[in-house]
Amino acid sequence: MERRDFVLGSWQQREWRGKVITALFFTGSGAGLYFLSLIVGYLWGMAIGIALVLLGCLFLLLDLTRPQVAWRLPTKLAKSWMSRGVVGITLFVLIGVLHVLSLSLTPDAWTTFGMPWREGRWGLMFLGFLSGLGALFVATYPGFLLGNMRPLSLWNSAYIPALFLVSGLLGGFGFLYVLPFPWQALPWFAFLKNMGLILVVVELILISGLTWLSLPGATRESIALFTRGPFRYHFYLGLLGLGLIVPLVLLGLVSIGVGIVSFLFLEGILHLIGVFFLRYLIIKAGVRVSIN
Amino acid sequence: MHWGMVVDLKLCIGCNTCVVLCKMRNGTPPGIFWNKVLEEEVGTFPAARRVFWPVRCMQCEDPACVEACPTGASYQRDDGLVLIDGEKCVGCRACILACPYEARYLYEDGNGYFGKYLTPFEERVYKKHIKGTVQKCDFCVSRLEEGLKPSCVEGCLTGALIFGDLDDPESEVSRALAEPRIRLRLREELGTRPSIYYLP
Repeated sequence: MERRDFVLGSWQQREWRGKVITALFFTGSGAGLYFLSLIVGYLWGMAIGIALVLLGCLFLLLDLTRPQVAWRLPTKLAKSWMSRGVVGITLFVLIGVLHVLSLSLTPDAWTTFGMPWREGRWGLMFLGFLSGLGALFVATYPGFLLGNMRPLSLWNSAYIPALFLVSGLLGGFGFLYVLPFPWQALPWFAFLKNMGLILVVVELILISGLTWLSLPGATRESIALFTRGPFRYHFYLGLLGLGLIVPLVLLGLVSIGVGIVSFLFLEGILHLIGVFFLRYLIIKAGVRVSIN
Repeated sequence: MHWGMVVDLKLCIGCNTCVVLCKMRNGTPPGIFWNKVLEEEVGTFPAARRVFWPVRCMQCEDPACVEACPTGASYQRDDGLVLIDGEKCVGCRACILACPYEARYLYEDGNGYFGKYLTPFEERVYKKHIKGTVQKCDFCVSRLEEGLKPSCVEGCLTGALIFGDLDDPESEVSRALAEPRIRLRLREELGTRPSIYYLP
């Protein structure tokens, strides 16, 4: 489905490719990691989450053909979602760093779970609330950015922002499971585990909705690319199989208490694979219909 | 004042003169076509025929590219022209993705038709193209300022391209649009309100 000039037809977009996909992976997962670490009060997770978001931004910067004028990016807030995203990410990083620094002033902050709201530290709680909102924004806004591209109907789907949010949080779980996180010491372990399980199910439902309920036209052509076309292995094996179904089974096994730590590490890796392939498929399968 | 164009599809013979004239006038680099003529086969034998669609930037009243541009490089003038300030372009390509008409191109490598060594002609005309920025048809804005019509309109062999002020009821475009014929704008469902009308 390569674009050819002077001919009518449908083409895959070729403008945004590997660097953008990688950027979306790191910013989404980093924001998810920050948000989850905020909930459990895991300072290392918050710091690494911010670092991952910054790494994602670096890939975005590398994707620009004229990064020397990147300072102009936040100048059209009123209209452009890309501008809003840049401002949102900047605010998130600033508030997040401030929050992490403030928390790290507490003795043993890096080795224990600190939960400011339990200790009545309202200033920190407010910072945490703001940074949490920022993390949710960073995870979700690519969906709105893609929705701005009117001719690519897959990207205009209402499922996309929801998918980015859910899969960003799953990416957060992925990194959280991969990091040496002392799960057994966490009082909310069962709650977190169930939350991960629910997110996997929600993502499966969203993907089913996107693939089965989309209207005919360019969206169908996009969907066909990953259900029957060249991306079918990425979709069935990478996203559905490794990214969602196997983790669902593993989480089930963890729930009945089999091989907790090793399974969680594997679970984390699989979540990250799923998060990457979701972004890969959405970006790669963006199909535009020429003028007819 | 609102610059617009009418394309009479019955008169277009697909000769691509407009494409060549645009290339000559604007000296666009390889692979970049500010205007082009798309071909479509319609009907079945024995009533099959080809229809030619000359397309270029539609100078939309509600341009999706301007909405997507994060730096203000793409902007709209009061006379309806959608232009690009290359100095402000960061090369994010959001406008290329947002444009429903595939009218925008990225001038990526700075090469000419014979690679990195530019011909004397290319050396002269490429000065206005900034490497790494997006470019597109501007209705030959410098010619408009001299009171001339765009090159493609001026050179169209059959008079299929009609150009003028859509706000002036006496202009050639307004008179063409007033004719009792079906008129359409491309991909109107996207709400961009193009300033180019087609008469099939």
